[in-house]
Amino acid sequence: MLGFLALFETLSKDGYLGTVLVTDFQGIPQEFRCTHPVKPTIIQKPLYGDMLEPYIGVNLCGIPLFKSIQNIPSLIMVDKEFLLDVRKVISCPVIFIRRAGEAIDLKSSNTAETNLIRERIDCTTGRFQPLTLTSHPDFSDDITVARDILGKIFSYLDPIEPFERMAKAIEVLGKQDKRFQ
Amino acid sequence: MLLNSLKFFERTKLNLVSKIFPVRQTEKLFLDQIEIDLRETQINQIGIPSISIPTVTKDFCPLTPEFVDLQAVPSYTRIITCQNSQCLQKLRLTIDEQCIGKQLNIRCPTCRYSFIYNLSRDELIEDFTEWLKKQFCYPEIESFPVQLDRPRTPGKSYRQGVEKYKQASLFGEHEVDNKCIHGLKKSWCTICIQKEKQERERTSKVDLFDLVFPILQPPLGENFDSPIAFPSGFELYPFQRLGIKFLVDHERALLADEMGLGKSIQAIVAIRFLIRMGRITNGLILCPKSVLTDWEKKLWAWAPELIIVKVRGPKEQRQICWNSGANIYLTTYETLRQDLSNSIGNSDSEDVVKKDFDIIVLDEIQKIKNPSTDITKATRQINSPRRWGLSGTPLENRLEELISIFAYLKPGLLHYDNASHPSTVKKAIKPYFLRRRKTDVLDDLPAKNCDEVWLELTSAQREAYDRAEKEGIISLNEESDSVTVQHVLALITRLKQICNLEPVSNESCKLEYLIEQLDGISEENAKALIFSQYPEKTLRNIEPGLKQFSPSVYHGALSDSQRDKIVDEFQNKDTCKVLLMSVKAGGLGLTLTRANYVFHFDLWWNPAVAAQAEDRAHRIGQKKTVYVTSLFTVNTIEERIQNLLNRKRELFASVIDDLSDVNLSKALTEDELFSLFNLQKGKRSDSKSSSKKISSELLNEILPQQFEELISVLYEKMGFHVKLTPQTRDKGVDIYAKRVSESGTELLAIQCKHYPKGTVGVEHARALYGVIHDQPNITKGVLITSGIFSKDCREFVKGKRIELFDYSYVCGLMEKYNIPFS
Repeated sequence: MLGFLALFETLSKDGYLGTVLVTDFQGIPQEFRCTHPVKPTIIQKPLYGDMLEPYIGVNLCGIPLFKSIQNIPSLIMVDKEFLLDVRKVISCPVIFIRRAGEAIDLKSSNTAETNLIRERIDCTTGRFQPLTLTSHPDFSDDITVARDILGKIFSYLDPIEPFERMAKAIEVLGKQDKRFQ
Repeated sequence: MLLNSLKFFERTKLNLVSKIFPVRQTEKLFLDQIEIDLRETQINQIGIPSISIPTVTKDFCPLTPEFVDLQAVPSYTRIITCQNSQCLQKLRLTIDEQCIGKQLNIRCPTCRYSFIYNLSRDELIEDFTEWLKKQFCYPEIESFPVQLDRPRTPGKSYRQGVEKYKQASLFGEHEVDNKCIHGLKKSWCTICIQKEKQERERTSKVDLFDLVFPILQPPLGENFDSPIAFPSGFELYPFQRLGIKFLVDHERALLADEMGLGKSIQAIVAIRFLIRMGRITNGLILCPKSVLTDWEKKLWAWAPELIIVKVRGPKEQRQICWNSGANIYLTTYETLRQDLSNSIGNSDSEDVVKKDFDIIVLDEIQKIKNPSTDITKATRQINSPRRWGLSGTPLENRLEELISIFAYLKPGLLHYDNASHPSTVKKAIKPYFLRRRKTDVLDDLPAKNCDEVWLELTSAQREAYDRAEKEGIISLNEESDSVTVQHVLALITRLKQICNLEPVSNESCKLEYLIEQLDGISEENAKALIFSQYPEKTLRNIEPGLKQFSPSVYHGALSDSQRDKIVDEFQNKDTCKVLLMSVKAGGLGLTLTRANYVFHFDLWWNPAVAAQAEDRAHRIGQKKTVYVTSLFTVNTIEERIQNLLNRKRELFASVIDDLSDVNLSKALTEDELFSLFNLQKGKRSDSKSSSKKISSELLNEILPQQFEELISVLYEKMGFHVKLTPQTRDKGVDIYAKRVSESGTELLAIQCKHYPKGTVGVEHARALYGVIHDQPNITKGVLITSGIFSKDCREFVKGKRIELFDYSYVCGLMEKYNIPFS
């Protein structure tokens, strides 16, 4: 199974929700969890500074979410580099994926990218744009695991696409229930 | 002395000048002691209040600064001396504004000597110390929590797990139930009862994570070519993919494919596509009662991941259905009308009125072709950004029907003035309209062979028929002045029923022919559908004659489950060879592809209804050639009607299929109906046509009783039989009006309020509602006034079986029906 971990801003841009989606290798959802929004106050925001999003994403959302899922995936993909830090706590390989050549948000990148181990993989069918995989600096073997798994599925499944589903699901949850707004 | 030293001349000159201009002596001024003394200074003083120790507030959030308009309110002080000469203690006197100018009784705290002291404002010293203490506070130090709270992590595993089996207990749970954490029996504790209720409500609602499940599915792809798009065995025809794309691309659309091309499947897949794209979350599907189960099955088959709630059953059950979360709510037009009517004024309920649907799909949208029906009015109350209509026959008779349909689908697109300009209508609806015919898109669909069989009436039928026709025509001629279309229709119905079956002898040339045909059909292991518009007078009577073919009868009075059972047995069991169907109840939406023989025992006025019925068998899934046989009797009313029907069939084909220019305003005129019996309608109204037309001024001058009589004449002209109630003790109804048509009996309870230039209040509508509420035989109540209706009154009747006619509407009807004012 594949895991997708993401941190989204709320619609009102005043908080953050962590989400995890577990799918099978066809992309069919097996489990979906999301946190209630964490809404830092205007005082907390400057006090946490640049560490606000990583702290919320990893400590408050990522790790609890991973601990709560019932179906343990063989690989977890994250959409933000700082979420790689969940790897320090969990035993499952974690990889940061993005489209090759995509601009990087330096603000959210807490490490100089040159220090990280990166690898590019291409879609054999040409159906999807190539991806760049990045692993946590302390767990360089993760990139090998990710390459093996994604090499098998990338011809028919775009690993970036599930993050869009998660974003839409969060939007609908917010419309249906105030606790997710 | 000085003068003496001067010369004489000088002295004389000086004396002279001094006489003429004497020198004025200077004044001497003396200052009084009071004027010399300096006035005592006034002293203003401010005491500095002590600084309090800063405190930490419990509320960690910084407050929005509060701006206060300060108004300086000083107190006054004065140092006085005790008037006891033995004491002479200096006393500090602090007083308020109100005490100034009053006598103060002061008691010296040292010597206890009391004395009276009068003080004036001048003696006082303004002192702002106390005021400052009140107004200016030193800031409190705020403390903010640095630690962010860890959020909850709700979610759902969609993998099917094994539910833990819980062993039932005979005693244990019972004992626990009796104890409440508040020390009371659970059944006595209101807190526990409330908690349990909330828990029940919570658990009865659908899990939010089930609602988002479709959104979490992989995308279907633009061309529906994903290997996981549909369950195995489900494929779409290319024309259906185009139809789905048309629906997805259009928020307002009318899909008018010919019957049997899978309109409902196209709509389901399009909804599924939109939900999985996250563009919509929920929707409402309205359909006729007969196809409710069919829709449900198709939804399960084509969109298994969606949560479907079928809103049916008793009122309480429907309420629960509306309250539960779902992707799709499925119900009938009639149920929606009832629930909208029930929920008005019920602010506590959280039902259909308060629901926002992202999409509404109206199956067989011709149900709302008549803007004045309750179903149309109820449907129009449902607002939704996306509105799709499905119908194989959106135009049954007149162009106004299509205009009424688009009045909901795309308000403002068409106007009733356009009814006389078909080309304008065609051009306007084109972007929102898609229609395909089987001949165009389904090359592999078996052929449909239509045939007409003309039979001779049996002797008993002929005798009964001739007698009934003769009596009917005589009766119509006798009442030539008051005869209406309804009278003609009633005679036609009587004659058509005799053509089907002679009720006394039970002889029927059609039944004899049918039995012969069914013998052959049964031998080749085929099945047949037999349609009639008279379930009671025809289907029930021919059923015993077809006993050898184990017929089932499908009609409108059956419950949902009975209908489903009949359809299921016909499709799946070999023993059931024949299905007798009411064309109204079974003509829409059903899939009965097991049959490939269709017999029309009699034909409805409208060829579109017959075509709908035939297509229950001739649709996707049919493997054999479909044989449609219409049974007619020669030298009867059926033969004459058939000529009219042929004309209507041409009209339908030209406007909907080819969208050509045809004036559709009157497909079936009164003259045509009267001509069936060689009757002329002209003399009924022509003699009076020159009479003075009603006008609002004249309406104001008549008496209340005359107003009632005028309304009764109007309803007679509209084709009703009217009955005026007594002037006193009329039990809240002035006129009863009854009209019999092919679609049933219409009974109106009319209350007239003659208030020229006045306003009719809600109490009159309430009174009428009270009268009709418990009388289901009354189709609706009509409140008519020569004045206007109050806003409350208009609000009250919404969703109820009451119509309001104000003076302008009445005048319009008078003119339309050419009512003479006399």
